[in-house]
Amino acid sequence: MLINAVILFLRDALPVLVLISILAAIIYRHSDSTLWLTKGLALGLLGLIIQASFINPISDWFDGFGFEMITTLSHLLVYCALLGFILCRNENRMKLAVVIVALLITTSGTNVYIYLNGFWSDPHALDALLVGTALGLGISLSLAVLLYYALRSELIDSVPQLPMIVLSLAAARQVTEAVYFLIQADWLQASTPLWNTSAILSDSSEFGHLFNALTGYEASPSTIQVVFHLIALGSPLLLIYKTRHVNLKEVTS
Amino acid sequence: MLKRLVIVTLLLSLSAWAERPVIEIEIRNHLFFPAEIEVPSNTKVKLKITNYDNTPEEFDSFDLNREKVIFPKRSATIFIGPLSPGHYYFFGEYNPNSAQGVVIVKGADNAD
Repeated sequence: MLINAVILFLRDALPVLVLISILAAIIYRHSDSTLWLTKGLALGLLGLIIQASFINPISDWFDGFGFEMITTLSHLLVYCALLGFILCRNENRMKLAVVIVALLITTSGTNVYIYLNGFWSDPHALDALLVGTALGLGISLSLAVLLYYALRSELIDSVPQLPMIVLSLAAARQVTEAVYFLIQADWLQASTPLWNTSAILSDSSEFGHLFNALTGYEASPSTIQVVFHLIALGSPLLLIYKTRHVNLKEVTS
Repeated sequence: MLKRLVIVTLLLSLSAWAERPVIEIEIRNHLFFPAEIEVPSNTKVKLKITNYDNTPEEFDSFDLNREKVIFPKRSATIFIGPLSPGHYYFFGEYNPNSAQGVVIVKGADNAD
C-alpha cells in the first residue's frame, strides 16, 4: 500500500508539479506574482470536486470510456493553452497559466481522489496510505522545486530559450497522453511497438516516471504515438523560433 | 509532405470499429479471474473487466502499455494489441501483491 501510494503520486502528481514549476520559472522572469497559481489551484480544486462527484456516471459515458475521454479532452486543452502561453505575453500568459493549472489539478487530482477515497475507510491501509502519500508528494515536490531553481539559475541566462524548450517537451507529453487514451479506447489504431527500450529505461523505474513527466517518454511507443509526439513537439518549437525571430527584428529595427 | 503524412496516418489509424474478440475478466477479492489469458498474435482484443469488489482497482500493465481504473461494482473495457507472441504481465495498481495476471499471446511459434 505504501509503495503503491508513492508510485501513484510519481505518476499523477509529478507531471503536474513539473509543469507548474516550468510555468513558474518562466513567469518569474517577468513577474513575481503568484496570483495565477492561487487562482489555478482554487479553480482546479473546484473542478476536482465537481468531477469527483460525478465520477461514476462519467465513467459510464462512451461505452465505459467516459473518464478517458474527459482526460483526453483535458490534455488537448492544456496543450492548446500551452501553445497560447508560448505565443502570448504577460497578462494573457497569466490567464492561460490559470487555465492550465486548473485543468491539470482537476484531471490528475481526480485520479488521486479515486485512489485515496477507495482505501480511506480501510483502517488497515490508513497508516501506509498516509506515509505513502507524504513520501510520494515529498519526492514529487522536491523534483519540481529542483527543476524550478535549475530553470532560474544564472547558467540558463546564456540559453534564454531553454525554459520554453523544456515547456515544449512537457506540452508534447499532453498530446502523447491523449493519443494513449484514444488508442486504449480503440478510437485510434495502434501498431505493434516501434521500438522497446525497457531494458535501458523501464517505464516503471523512477527515472522512467521522471522522463515521462518531463517528456512523455514511453519505452515501447506505437508509430502513431511517435508521429503525434513529433508534431506536438515541433509546433511549439516552431512558435518559439518564430517569436524569437520577430523579437530580434523588433530589437534591431 | 508533413500534411500528407498526417492525413495518411489518420486514415490508417481511425479504427474501422470492426468486431474484436472479447475476453471477460473479473476482479474479486483483489484477484483477477482468470489470471491467465490467451490471445492470438497480431490481433486486437477487447478485455471486458468487471470489478465485484467494494474498492476501485486499476488495471495496469507496463508490458501492454495500458492502465484503466475499474470502479467498484462496474465494468470497463480496454483494447489491447496487436501483439507479438510472448507473455505480457498485468497487475492491479491498487493491490499489486494480489491482483496479478498475464496475457499469453499465441503465435505460430508457441501455439499448442
